[in-house]
Amino acid sequence: MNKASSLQEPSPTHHDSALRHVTGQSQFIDDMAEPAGTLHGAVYFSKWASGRIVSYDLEKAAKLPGVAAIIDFTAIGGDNQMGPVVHDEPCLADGNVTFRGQAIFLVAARSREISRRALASIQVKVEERPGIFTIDKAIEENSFLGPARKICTGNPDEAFDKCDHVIYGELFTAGQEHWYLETQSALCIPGEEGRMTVYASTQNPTETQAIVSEVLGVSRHSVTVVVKRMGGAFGGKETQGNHVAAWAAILAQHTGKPIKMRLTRDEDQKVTGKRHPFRSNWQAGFTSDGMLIALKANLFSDGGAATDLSWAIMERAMFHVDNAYYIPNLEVNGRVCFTNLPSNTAFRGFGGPQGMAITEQVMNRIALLTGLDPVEVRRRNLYGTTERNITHYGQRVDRNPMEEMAVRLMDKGDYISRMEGVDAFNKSHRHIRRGLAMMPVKFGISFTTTFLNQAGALVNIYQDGSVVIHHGGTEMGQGLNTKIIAVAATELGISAKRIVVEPTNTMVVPNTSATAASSGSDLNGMAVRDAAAKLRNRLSTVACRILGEQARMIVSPADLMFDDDYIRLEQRPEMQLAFTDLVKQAYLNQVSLSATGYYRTPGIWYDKEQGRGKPFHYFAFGMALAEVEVDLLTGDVRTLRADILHDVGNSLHRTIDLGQIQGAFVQGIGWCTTEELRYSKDGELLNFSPDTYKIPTIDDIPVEFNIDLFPTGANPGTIHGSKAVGEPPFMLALSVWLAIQYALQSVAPEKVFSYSLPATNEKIVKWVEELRAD
Amino acid sequence: MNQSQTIFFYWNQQHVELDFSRPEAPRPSTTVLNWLRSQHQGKGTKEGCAEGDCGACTVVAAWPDENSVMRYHAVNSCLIFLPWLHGKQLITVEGLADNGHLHPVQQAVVDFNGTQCGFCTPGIVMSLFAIYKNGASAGREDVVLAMSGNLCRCTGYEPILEAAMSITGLPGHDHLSDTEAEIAAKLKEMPEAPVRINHQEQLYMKPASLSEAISLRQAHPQAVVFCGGTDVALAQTKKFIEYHELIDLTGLKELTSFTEDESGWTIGAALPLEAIHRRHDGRIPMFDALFRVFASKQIRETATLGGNLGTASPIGDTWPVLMALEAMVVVSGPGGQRTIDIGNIITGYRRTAILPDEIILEIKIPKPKTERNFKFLKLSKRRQMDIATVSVAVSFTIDSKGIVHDPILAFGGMSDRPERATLAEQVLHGHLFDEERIDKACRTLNDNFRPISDARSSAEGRTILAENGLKKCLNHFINPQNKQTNE
Repeated sequence: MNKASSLQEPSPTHHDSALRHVTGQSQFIDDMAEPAGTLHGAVYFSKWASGRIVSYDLEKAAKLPGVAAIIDFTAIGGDNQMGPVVHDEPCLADGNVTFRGQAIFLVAARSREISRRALASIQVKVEERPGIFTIDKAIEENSFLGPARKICTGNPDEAFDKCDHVIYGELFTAGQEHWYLETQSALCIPGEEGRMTVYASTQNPTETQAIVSEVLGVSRHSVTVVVKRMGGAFGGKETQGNHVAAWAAILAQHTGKPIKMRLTRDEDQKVTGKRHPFRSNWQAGFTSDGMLIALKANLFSDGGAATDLSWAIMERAMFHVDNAYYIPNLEVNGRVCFTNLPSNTAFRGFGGPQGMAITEQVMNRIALLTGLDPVEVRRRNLYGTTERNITHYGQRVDRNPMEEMAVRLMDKGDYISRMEGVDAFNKSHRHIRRGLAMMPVKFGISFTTTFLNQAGALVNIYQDGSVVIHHGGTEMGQGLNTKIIAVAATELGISAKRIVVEPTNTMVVPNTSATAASSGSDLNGMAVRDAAAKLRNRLSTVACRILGEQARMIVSPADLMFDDDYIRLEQRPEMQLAFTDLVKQAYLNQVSLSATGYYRTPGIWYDKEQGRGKPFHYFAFGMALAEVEVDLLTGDVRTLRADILHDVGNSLHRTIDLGQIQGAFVQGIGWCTTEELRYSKDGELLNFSPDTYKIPTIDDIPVEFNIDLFPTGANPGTIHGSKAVGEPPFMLALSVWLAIQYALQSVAPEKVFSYSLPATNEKIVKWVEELRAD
Repeated sequence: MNQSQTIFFYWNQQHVELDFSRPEAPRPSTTVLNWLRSQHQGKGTKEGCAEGDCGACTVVAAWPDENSVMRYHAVNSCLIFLPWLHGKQLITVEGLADNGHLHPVQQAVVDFNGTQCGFCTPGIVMSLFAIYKNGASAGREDVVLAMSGNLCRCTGYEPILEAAMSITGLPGHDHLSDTEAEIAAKLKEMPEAPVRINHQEQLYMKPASLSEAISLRQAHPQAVVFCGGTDVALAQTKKFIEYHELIDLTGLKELTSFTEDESGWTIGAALPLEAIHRRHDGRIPMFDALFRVFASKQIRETATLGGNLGTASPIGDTWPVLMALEAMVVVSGPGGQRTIDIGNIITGYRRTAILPDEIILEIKIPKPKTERNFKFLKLSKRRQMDIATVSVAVSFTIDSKGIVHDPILAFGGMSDRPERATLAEQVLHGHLFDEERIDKACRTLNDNFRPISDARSSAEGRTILAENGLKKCLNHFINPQNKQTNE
């Protein structure tokens, strides 16, 4: 074991907050010192899925000792709106409710307990209307959000006629609760001239600023949003962190007091949106040697009661329905359903997992019907490197390492002999079966809404040589700031300990995009590099003069090396200048030590109407091989082993990247196995607490868990040749779902069977009965 | 009766006197978590769920055992009330680093990159600290069982597991060891705990003896009685219920005994499950299997058999096991003691035959007179830290001719109460123990139970799981030579 770290000494090999995390010093919203007079905010959420608010009585609640204010939508100073893309989300219900969990009233009270007790004494009468709670019902009622979308290449209908086999299928993939450890929270402090400072747990401070300013009826320059860190987010705080901030800000404006609002775990699980459930039907045509020639897929997602990000999520699902396979004739149609449920939202993968699950299902079916090995079918259909490499939306798949990855992983994971072992095991066991499955992932990196692909930064150097970085990204545990520090340290040639990253602040770096789409380090890393490069250029001018005098020669910036806290002449390294001395000299010579940086991703575009474009800057690739053991009697699943190869280009930070892969994979196992959202027939979420909603524990991770970064070299046009890593590995966990299917299929090897996701214990035992039935 | 309203404990190295007679003192049933978070130096401990399911609030409580050796117990601070701290050392994440240097368990979490967002980290660190201090060498499985009450959504646990493995089996020495003996001695010298705390419209009673408990119970029939409090705390933290009268039997001396003789085992109702686990040493049938899947380590450190029986949950995990063991429950009231057969206690949904003025004293588990087969199985969505969808415990005898005698098939989750499948038992009793018979018994469950659909499972799922669970339990005893093919 290493020598104990001193608390003052950050190590560049670890997460920049690691020392504070393990000592309990890291502050989350609820840990911040509350200003004197802070009140606690609470929200009365609709208990009705759909209906008209007939009357209500707030008197009793208002009279409770300790209650400072209780308000409805009429107290909102600005627009009663908090829809991020489309203004279809009232901040507080204004006469109608459209989902259980919709905010109707706000309460401010002396304590959190009193605020919750006040909620209990509010009386509301609602004339209920029938609601829509499933995708099927929404389709039946023609209940949709936005237009139908289509992407098509080739001509599937004609192609089906020429295929040896044409098959049909359906797939349901369920939602997923984010279960970030820190529930939605905000602290709003009102100031002079109608100003509002919002300490928020949000992935999108600029949007939080926009929505708070709109509901307060003030300009954006009056609202400052500050984000130090989030206790997890995973997409759940991309738009829905705005809500708590907006509610707290309204109360703060109304009472003139600071307001802290933190949802209870139950509230959070009940009222916030989740991963979109998808119901899809598909038709696939393939040849006897397993080549997928044509695919037609119709995707329906459950958007919930407002648009939120549902369109972009559907779009990404449609972009990823090919996963890693070349399908010459592919038509994909997408439709977002309106239902009377909390608006579903971003969640790691953002539609990608739902889209890929369809094609992986098709691949399994092809293997079953052709008798080919499932991995062989997948390999035959992979995108090519020089041909068969254009996606259905027209983007070329460049630098595709997938065949190489497959070979390497099969070798490393001993695929062939383990598959024989699995088959032998299944022949000799009645109630315990094993499954092995391997699958690729190709994931497009960039916001598919092109203009969002921009970022800003501000880098300041102080006279003592210490450096502070502001950037537009937010830290939610993913290690963005650690990577940012590494980028700036490299650019300026200084040690990481000289650099701190300040909390994200909308007053310092404006007009930022959400830290989402895995793009945090891609975009903000480039913006920080831009700012750091400007400073380095300015410092270089000063250094050239000083070192030139020292060495009695003419020095140009190209002769300088910035490294190790020193600036040296490349040819004569003994001629050196300490970074701190250079900074001092620059200041004395009236050189600005502050620079902004900016980046926009070049060359990406997408035409929604035509379904054509280059929406992604590049693709990230990965491959997973998973083995499971399934108890057919109890439905218990254990992932015995997972081997992962993943492509991060030139890693910005190896340990951070490995952590993202491990975490995403296990989160994906949760989605595929134990995480099930259960609703009553009236659409009421039944399992809204960790008591009944089960994310993976330490006992649910692969018993043997091998992860390697697959070397693909420097990724062109990205920060230090790296690739994004936040989302892509999530989808690798579909391999666990596929392995479960392999295990179950051993009960009836020839039977064509429709699986769904997640594969819970309950579903597994039911499937086994159905597989065994004649 | 002790008139004091003050509790004494150590918080890390600091001696704390909390006098509930002071107006600014918190309400006695304030959870340790809420108290910590109201303190300037206590915000390292986090609230993730306020119901003991996530472990973000894990702290360690230490107190000397019967041999005056300090023992370290990881507990959920969201589920324990302040008076529980009396006479203990509360160790929180702020107390681990020594003079600016990380504690070995903190260092391990840093070294193995076991932290991302950091919100679960203090709880993870404290669970690791308990593993470290208890010194026992632990394999992967032990670590998994000790850590399954700590949820992390970021890391995928692998680095945490690696960190844990790196600190197990070490002597557990750290800077706390330097003051351990001194603190242990001081804890032993602490004054008696207060018996009645009356503060902020709450009467919190913590009787010092059984007779005191019974008389307090008589005097306060409205009071909520609890033993461990993992259930009672929830109602307060999650539903914001205000308790006005509480009787806390946790740790009551007469209720924490554990004895074994030829006739069987006698377990005090207030003995925490982890203490039972340590004491019974694998001898009580099915108990090891039960404790492996009963809640989390943190909860087992405070939850008790008495509490699990008293709440009478239809899915209380201990019920089917105690039914299959033919346990007897000794209760005590103003009219003296009586012993009730476990099968006669539950009278309906969360209702029992225990009278309002009676207190559960102990549980007697007889040693079987003949050689009996026992098997317990919990079927749940998630292996660890889950409530059973269905649980099943079986016990039966097979004679030399292979005939089944006196089977007990007890189920949780299949009815409004834990219940025996009497019809299925009849199918087995007096018949040859073979697969055909097992199948027949399993199918009979349908006539025994009409389970419900709820947040955990559909009725249909429960029906299949119960049949399968019973089959798995019984199959276990078929032809052990062919065990592999049976599986």
